[in-house]
Amino acid sequence: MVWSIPEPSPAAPVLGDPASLSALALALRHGAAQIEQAVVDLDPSSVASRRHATRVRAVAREASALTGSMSRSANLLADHAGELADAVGLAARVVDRARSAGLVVDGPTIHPASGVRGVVDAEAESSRAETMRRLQQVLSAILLDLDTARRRLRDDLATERRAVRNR
Amino acid sequence: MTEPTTSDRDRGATMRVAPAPATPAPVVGPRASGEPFAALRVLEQALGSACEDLFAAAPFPGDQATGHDVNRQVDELVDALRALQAEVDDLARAMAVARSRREGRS
Repeated sequence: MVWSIPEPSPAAPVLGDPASLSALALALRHGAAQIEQAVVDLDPSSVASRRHATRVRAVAREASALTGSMSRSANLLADHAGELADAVGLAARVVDRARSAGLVVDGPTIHPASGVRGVVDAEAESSRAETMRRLQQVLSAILLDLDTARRRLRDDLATERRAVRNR
Repeated sequence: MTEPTTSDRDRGATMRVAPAPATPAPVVGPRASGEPFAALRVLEQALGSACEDLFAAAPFPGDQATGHDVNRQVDELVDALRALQAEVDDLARAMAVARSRREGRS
């Protein structure tokens, strides 16, 4: 018989999967490289019809524009994967340090763990409060940096999308 | 519709290495059979496989707005790649039709 509902586990401070972002960057680079290789093999001078030769040149031009955009997008995503991996790693260290100090990291906030922790000790409580304040500052800085990186990625991707549309 | 064959390309290659005549070779003939059909088909396949790979690699950026933007990026790139793939396919078919007409006339 269940006497109480277990508390939900605290949310991770940093969400995201750097590996899947890197995988998308790799797919973009791989696709761009294959298309570039195929474009190198296109030879408009071997086309009998002038009209078709013009179309072959246009295809090559458009393919080059697209592969350029794919490569730039891949670089943006790979850079962001690195930033996200750094944030995930730093946040994990904050979680570990908080746990060792009897604190809980729940999403973007740190609070004391619930329940009885031991004998009331004013000095220990004061030390814990100081640790909590310090770790909260570190976590806030990590999340702020990540938020800035995410905003920059969104702006850069929007610029690339405009370039694809206006090619 | 006449599709280019390996034997066509081989025949073209053989004719290109033959001793050059005194007058320039006619446009229809060796030059026509050297048209980049295979390269166009390879490009078309590369475009198609890039689209499939991009759709298969759906990342989890962790932030809803970022995820939305990454998905839009992939969607727009795939749209552009598909449009180019259709153009390449159309061009290859048009070139094949033109070549079969030339060969029918000669």
